[in-house]
Formats: sequence, C-alpha cells, structure tokens
Amino acid sequence: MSESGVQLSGKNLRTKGEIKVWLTAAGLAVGLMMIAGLLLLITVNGLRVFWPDRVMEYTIREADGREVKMSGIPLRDPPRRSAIPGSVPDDFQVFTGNKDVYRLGFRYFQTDSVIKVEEPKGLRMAERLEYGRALFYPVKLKLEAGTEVPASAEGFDARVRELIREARGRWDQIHEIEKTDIGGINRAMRELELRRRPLSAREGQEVEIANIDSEIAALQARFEALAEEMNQLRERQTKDRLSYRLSSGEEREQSVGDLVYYFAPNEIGWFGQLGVFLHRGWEFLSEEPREANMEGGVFPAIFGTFVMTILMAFLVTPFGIIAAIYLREYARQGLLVRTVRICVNNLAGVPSIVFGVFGLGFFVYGVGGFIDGGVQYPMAAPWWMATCLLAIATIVGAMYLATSNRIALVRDPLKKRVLRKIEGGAWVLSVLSLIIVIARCPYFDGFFTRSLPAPTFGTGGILWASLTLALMTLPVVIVATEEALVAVPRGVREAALACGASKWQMIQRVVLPGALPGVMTGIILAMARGAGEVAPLMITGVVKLAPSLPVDFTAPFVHAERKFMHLGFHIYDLGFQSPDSEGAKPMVFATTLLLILLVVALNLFAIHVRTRLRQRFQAAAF
Amino acid sequence: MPNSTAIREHPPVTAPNPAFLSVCDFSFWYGAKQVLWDVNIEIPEREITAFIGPSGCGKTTLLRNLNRMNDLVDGIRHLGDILLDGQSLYDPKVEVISLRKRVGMVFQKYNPFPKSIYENVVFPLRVAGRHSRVELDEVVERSLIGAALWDEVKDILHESALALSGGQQQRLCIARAIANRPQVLLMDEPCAALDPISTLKIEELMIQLKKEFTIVIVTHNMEQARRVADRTAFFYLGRLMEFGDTMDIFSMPQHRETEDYVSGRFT
Repeated sequence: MSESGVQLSGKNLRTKGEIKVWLTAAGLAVGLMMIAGLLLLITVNGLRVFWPDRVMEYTIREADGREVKMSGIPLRDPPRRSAIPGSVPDDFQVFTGNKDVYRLGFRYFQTDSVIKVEEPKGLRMAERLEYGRALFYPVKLKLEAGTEVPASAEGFDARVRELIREARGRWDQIHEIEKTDIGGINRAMRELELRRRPLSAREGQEVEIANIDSEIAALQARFEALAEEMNQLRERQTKDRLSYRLSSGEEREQSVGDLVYYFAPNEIGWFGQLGVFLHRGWEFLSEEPREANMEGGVFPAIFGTFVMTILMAFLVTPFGIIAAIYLREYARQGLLVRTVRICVNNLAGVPSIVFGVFGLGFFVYGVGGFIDGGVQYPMAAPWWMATCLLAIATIVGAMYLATSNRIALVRDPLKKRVLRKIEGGAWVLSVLSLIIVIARCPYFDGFFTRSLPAPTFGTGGILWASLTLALMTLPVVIVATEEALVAVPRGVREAALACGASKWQMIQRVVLPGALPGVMTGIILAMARGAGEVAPLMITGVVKLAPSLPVDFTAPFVHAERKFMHLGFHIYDLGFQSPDSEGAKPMVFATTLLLILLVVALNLFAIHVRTRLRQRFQAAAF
Repeated sequence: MPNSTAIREHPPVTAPNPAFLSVCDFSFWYGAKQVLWDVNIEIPEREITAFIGPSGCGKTTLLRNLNRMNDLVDGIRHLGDILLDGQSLYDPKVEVISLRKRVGMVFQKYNPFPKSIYENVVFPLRVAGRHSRVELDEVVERSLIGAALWDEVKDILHESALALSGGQQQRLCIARAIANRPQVLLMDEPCAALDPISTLKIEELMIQLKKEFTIVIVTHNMEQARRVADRTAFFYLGRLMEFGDTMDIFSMPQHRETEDYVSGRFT
C-alpha cells in the first residue's frame, strides 16, 4: 500500500507537470527580476543625481608628503579594491566640484592617504554657469557700489540669493533679446540677402538693390543697438563679486552673475534637501543644456523626442492601416500575399541603422533635395508630356472600367478575366507614371532654390527622422492591424453586407471601428520602439545641440526641416562623447530615467485612448 | 410592378404575388461539393415560409442565396436561377448591393454593430447615403416600433447596442433589417440563441411583420414552424422533398422522410 502510494505520488509529480510549472515560473521570475533590477538601478541613480548629499572634508597626504584639505561628496563607498591585494592601493571616488581649480570634478582618494575625515560647518555649494558646482567657504561679497559684506554678517546667505535672483532675471532678459529680437533681425536680414542675390546679377535693378541695402542698414543699426543693450546687461552681470576660500585655503573670486543657485549642504535639514532636489530636478526638466550638455537641463531633448514620436505615430498609422486593409481584406490570399506578409515581418528585423541609411539616401538627399532644388534629372519635355498623358489615360481608363458594373456585365468569362487584368494593370501603371511625372518634371525648380547651396529640407531634420522611424515601425503596425482585422467577427461583417453596404462601406463603418483598439496596440508598440531608437536618427537629423526647437512661436510654428535633440542620442552623447565621461555619468542615469518615463507616459496615454475605444466599440461580456 | 428596383414606402394594395420569390431548377456547389439539387420553390408575397430539415440539408445555403450572401465564399457555382418579383438575382445588371437593399437578413447569432442603438438602426440608410436627420429619426422610431423594441429603448437610443439583452439585440437586428423597407426578410434561425420568452416575442413580431414583408425563415424548431409559418418546405440531403401549407406538411406529409422528421424521429 505504502509502496504503491509513493509510486503514485512520484508519478503524480511528473504527470501533473509540477516541475515544469516551477521551471516556467522560475524563468519568468528571473526575467522579471532582471527588468525590475534594471529599472531600480536607473531610478535610484537617476534620482540620486539631484539629491544634495552631505559634504565631507578630507585631509589627505599627497605623494610629495604635503597635507592638503579637500572637501567633497564620497561617491563610491566601499572603496575600490585592487584585484591582487597590495598591488595598487585601494581608493574611492569623491565628487570635489571646483572644476576650474582641480580640472576635473572628481578625484580618487587612496584610502591609506586619508588622514582625517570630518563634516565641516559653514561650507556652501553653488551651481555655476561655467565649471559646474563649487564647494567653498564664503569670505565676502564685493558689491557694485563698492561696499563689501563680510560672510559673518547677518543675512549674508539671503543677500547672496537675492543677488542671484536679480542676476537670473538679467539672464532671462539677455536670452529674450538674443532669441526673439536678434533672432528676428537675423531672419529678416537673411530674407533680404536672398532677395538681393538674384538682383545683383541683373541690369537696371540698382534702385531696388539700394532699397534693400538701406533696409539691411536699418536692421544692422537696430541690431547694434540691441547688442549694445545686451553688452551692458552682460557687463552688469560681472559687477557683484563673491570671494571665497576653498578647503585648501586658496582664495578665489567669482561674479555672482554666473551663479545659478547657492545653498549650505551640511546645514539644511531634510526639507531643505528636498527643496534643492526639486529645484535641481525642475531645472533638469525645463532648462537648456550647458557646458557641452554636461550641466543644465535637457528640455530641448525631451521636446524633440516628444515631437518626433508623435509625428512618427501620425505618419505610420495611415500607412500601416492602409497596407493592412489591402493585405487582409482585398488581396487574394495566395502565395504572393503570403510572401509579402513574410517580407513585412522580416522588415521588423532589419537593423535600424539600415533604415537610417535608407532615410538619409531617400528622404534627406532624394526627397529633401527634390523639395530644395527641384528635379535633378529632368525628362525631355516631350517625353514628360507623353508620361503625363499616359497617367491621365490610365486613370481615366481604370475609372471607366471600375464604374457602373462594366466588367460584371461581360458574359464571356475569358474576356471578363482579361478586362479585370487590364483594370488592375491600369491602376498600377497610373501610379507609376504619376510618380515619374512628379519626380522627373522638367518644370519644377524646387521651393528653396534661392537659398541653395545651403540646404533647407535637403539635410537631416525632424520630418525625415520621423519618416525614417515610421518606415521602421511600419511592420509592427501592419501586423497588429491585420490581427485586429481578422478578429472582427464574421457576424457583423455579414450583417453590414446584408444591410446593403458595399465592401468598402463595411470596412470603413464596421470593421475598422471594431479593429481600432487592436490598431492602437500596434501604434503603442511602434511608439515604444520608435521613441527609444537612436541609430537611424544620428544620420537623419539628430544633433548634439539644436539652436531652436522644432515647434515654436515663430511662423510657420512647425519647422519640420529643423534639426532636433533626442533623449536617446543625448544618453549616447553624454556617456560616450563627452570630454569628462565620469562627470557625465549621473546625467546619463537621469536622462535614461527621463526617456523611460517619457515612453511610459506616451504609452499610458495611448492605452487610455485604447480603453476608451474599447468601451465604445466592443461587446460587453455577456 | 415587375423589374422595379424602387424602394416602396408603403406596401402595394394589389393582391399578393403567389410567386414573389421563385427558385427555378437551382443547384449549388461549394467547390466540388454539391449541396443543392434542382430546387424549385415559389415563395408567396407577404406570407411566412419556413425552411425545415436536418442539419446539412442545404436550407441555409438556399436562404443565403436569396440575397447572394454566398457570393462571399470562394469557389461557389450554381445552375438555374432565382427570380425576385420576376427579375433574376443573377442578372449582371443587378448590383448585389441594391439587391441586398431589397432583401434584408437576420442572422442566427444576433450581430448588432458595436455602435449606438440609433446608429445600428439607421445603418442601412447611412450606407445608402441618406443622412437627413428628420428622416433618420422617423425611420428609427418606425423600425423600432415595428420590431417591438421601441418602448424598451426609446430613452437609451444613443447608448451602446451591446448593452442590451440577447433577445433585445436580436429584435434590434430585425429593426435594422427592416429599416430600409426591404421587400423580403430572410431569417436564419433567428431564435436559436434566445430564451423561450424572447423566442415568443420574436414569433409574435414575425406574424406582425408579414403584413408588410415576405418572410423566409430557416428553423430547427418544428413547433416554431408550426406556430408561425404559412407554408413550410422540407429539405433533405440537398433536395426539396416537400413544400406546401404548414398544416398539410405537419398533419399529412406525403413523404416518409417528412413524416419522420416532423414527428421528431430523426433530426
């Protein structure tokens, strides 16, 4: 009895597949743990960047025997150990700031060279426009009026903050003048230059040229007045000066106008730290980058990523839906369609950089060059006219055959088949000839010929980057849409047809609305893939530092030709292209966190839309 | 009014045509498989004709040929002809779309569109390009009253049709089918997915509707055929075995198979 019982339970374990269940669960758990670990790492490191840690003061013995004091925030604890004990002294990394003095913002201290560590009082930390953060003991303020305020005076810190606020107000003014006024003058002058250029080649345009020249001169005068105003403001920025002492005893001076914020890292409480954290976080989100992207914020990159992703979604959706409708609803399901479907699926596996190269060649140089400078290889006029006629003839012919049941009325089945083939061929031919008519038109000289050889659309830009990514994510949308179309029940299709709907009316009014949630799933996947993609963007329009945003308040508001910044590229740029990659590491984490959050936010929005659609279009469980 | 494709607004006052829908020597194949053999049947106007028979006997196939729903299937072939009011359904001049506007259909599984009740009912008008608000409102009310659903849904016309119960959804499908005033209403086992009370309501509705429409119903339910049908056709193995007044078919069937079937000896 007992023996058979044991056997039974052993068999039971095998037959019930408990072990396999455990294995599958373990596999899932490992995967989830790795993803959770990655997210946790990014979140913790990304958020820690903004948290003001306590500053320590180290007394260390340098190699030449001198004792030096240095303040800094320990970054790597416990110390980095060498592989073979004793071969190299253990060391640990400290953020020292004061890049202007130490050349780098970080330093490795050897553990055995540290004599004393203490938490000093009276230390201040200030973020500067140049050279990053500074750690120092303030000595005195030298004001513009010539008076001096010693650091021991009552309300010294408040005074410094007040001055910083005033200085930042002036920076805002300077930026306003630079961007709006001077930017406008620059645009107007460029426009005038472009008008002047063709005139100077022609005879008898002297009056016109003189007019333009005087306009240019007037603009130049205004520009100089503004530049003078700006110079004065800039001058004012350097008037108030803060003198301070480093831990090592060295005294330095710094104009208050270059400070961004100022606080006492060891004296503020938890709420003070939180305040600094929020302040820095907000600065990161809302400001433009400084110092080769290593300081300041990433707002242009957030905005660029957002605009590009949205643009991509809007471009890929119609193409994907159209392609899927034809493949699933109209095309006869045979070998050809199966092949096409396999190719579409494989397209998703093509390396993204290949799409980038294609985008560069086709969109940027091909289409962009076409828009800029017109047709490169125009057809001879008579041939072009002939192609035009062919296009018109094929369109008219196909329309004639398609309307009024003309083919269905033919009795002879062979003739019917031939006519069907002719109709299809005419459509294909009309599309091809239309493309030739547009691409090789001898009468089109481009929309931006005046500014050539400087390209307008013929260089990387947000439109081309979005189109490239749209092409790359097209398979995702096609596959998802096809699945969604198949899932629309046969019953409602038949009902629509039985109501007298044509096939197109059925698709448009019943099938597509029913498939929309599934289509949204495809768009969500496409957006998730597109937003994080970097490689194809690098050659189709992303730059390290874009002078202006792709959407702004100057007409025509949307500048599809502009280059843009992107969070993914920003990560690559900071981590691998910056002069001080160790110093940029915290920013890499923060930017990565931001990119993930942006993708999640976009997806959540799309999921919300999908849920709304589901509620509207799908059956309540019955 | 032979050969007219105009949509009637009111039923004609003329005497009903005894051969409104006539199927002549009709044979039908799905690919290589023949499912109907030489069917001849004349369906009278404004009466209910029931098709009965065991599963796979071809009754649904014939029904789905009456509005050329089978055109959707690949590899179909037919011989013979079907005439609606004297005009062939297979005449190349007849557009399938306009044919289906004259022959409405209600399916076995209720299949309202995932839209509002209102939009469901006006769908046939919308696809016919009629969008006048006044007309649509009128059609919705008339059709829903016609389908005995108006009182239940008149306050929730703009809510999802999918929130209705099964019986209500099927009546909504009937309202949709009659919205564009077809001449013929095809019903493919309309009560198969419904409970007895809903079934009863639909049956009462059919008797109401036959005053205006010619109804053809496929049913597996002998009692239903006996209750609602004026005429009954018994199909067996793809052939029409017997066709006549419902009373005659049930009380004195001419064929052995008919008798077995209507008495429930095989299904």
